[in-house]
Amino acid sequence: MGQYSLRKRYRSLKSKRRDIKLNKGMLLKDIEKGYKAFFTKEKAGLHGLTASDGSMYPGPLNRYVYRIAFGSKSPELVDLYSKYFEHIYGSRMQRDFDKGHPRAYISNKMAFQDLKKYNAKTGPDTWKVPRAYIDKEGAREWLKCFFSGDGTVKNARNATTYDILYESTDKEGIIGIRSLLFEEFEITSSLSIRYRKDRPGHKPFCALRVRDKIRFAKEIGSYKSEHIERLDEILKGMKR
Amino acid sequence: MSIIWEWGFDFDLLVQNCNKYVIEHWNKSVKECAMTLNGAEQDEGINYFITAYAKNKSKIPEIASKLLSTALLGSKIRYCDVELSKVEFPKKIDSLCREEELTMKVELLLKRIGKMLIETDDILKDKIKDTGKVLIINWDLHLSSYVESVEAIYMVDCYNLLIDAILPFIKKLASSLGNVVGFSLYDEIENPIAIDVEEDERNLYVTAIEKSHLLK
Repeated sequence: MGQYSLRKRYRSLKSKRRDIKLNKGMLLKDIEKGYKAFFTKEKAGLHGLTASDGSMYPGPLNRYVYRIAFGSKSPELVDLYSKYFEHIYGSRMQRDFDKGHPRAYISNKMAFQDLKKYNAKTGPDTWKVPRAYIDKEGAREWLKCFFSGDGTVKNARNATTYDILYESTDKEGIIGIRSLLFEEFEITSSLSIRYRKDRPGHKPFCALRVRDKIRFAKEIGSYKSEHIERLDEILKGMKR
Repeated sequence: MSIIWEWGFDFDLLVQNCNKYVIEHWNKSVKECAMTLNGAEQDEGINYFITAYAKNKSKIPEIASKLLSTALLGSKIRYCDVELSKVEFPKKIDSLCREEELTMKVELLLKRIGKMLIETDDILKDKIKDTGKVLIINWDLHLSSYVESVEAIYMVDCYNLLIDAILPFIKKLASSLGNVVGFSLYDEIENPIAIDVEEDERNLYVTAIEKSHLLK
């Protein structure tokens, strides 16, 4: 396509001011200074789920196998992962159980390389929040999906309160989540890291404790049924 | 310490990788091997470590299988690591207590943390003085259980705010490994700080952590 026609197309697109759907779950959005590529809701969700309970590794027996898998004790999350994957890459994931855990998996080089390009998890502590590619809606979906996999809504010592936590062994990733929660939703949180004194050198784990629980329940939420029930109780004022 | 398995790999690979690692790295100078699985029970938000201390190389596949089936009682296994040592690993046996003593120990620990917080936090001190409210501490408890069996010694470590949540879970894990000898509550507190304060008509609920654990 020549330069003139590109410019013409750009002008015509700008005048209509609408988002343009690209392939592989990308969306060209009209921002003030022009167009910028963002994740669709599905791609943001897939990236978030991969960071929590997903995995992308070369196959166990053959390094030329580009294996993408998602396993969870919650079947609803495995369904969601498969649905998003098929929506974005057009391939249906295979399903099975590993020691009772439902799992979805596929070998797909194109999807593997595409997700890797956006810092999806390809090994221990390798994922990053894809900040440059998510707008507010993308951020909401990413945070919701990650929380569904690696979040917890647990009872606190007083029976009237729940604690909302994001937990991971990936410190940099958790720091990214804290920034995203605050920058997009003004949700404050405190971050702690726990080392085992009896086993120095042991991988520490990080916990991000959400302070604005009602705002979190309203703005972010979860796809996991146990979380949904408890977040509902917070919203209805039955628990704080 | 080497991570030999992570969430996402087939579970069977955990046992295979443990065995492979040990066959490759165990030499005459090795006295003990520690295999640890880190996982989470996500409904109640309990984080756990299950460690097996083994002295017999040939028992590794059996021990790794047992660790795996026990860790699967939770909802997620994050990773498994293996460490070989020329000396025996420390095992905190001196501080073991019976299950019945735990509730009292937790109460004493939380009382001590509350006292330390009041001593160092003037705002909290004034608030309690002005309102007359009762201070309730939320603190991530670290409970361990020491387990003996024919093939190895196991240590189960669990973290949660509630002893009522930890105890049934740690007992479930520990009893599937062998004979539960006792429990120990980690009570070395250095410098607690309040990270969140909530209140109702009667109580002041303070969530506190070790200052060194807080990331700014």
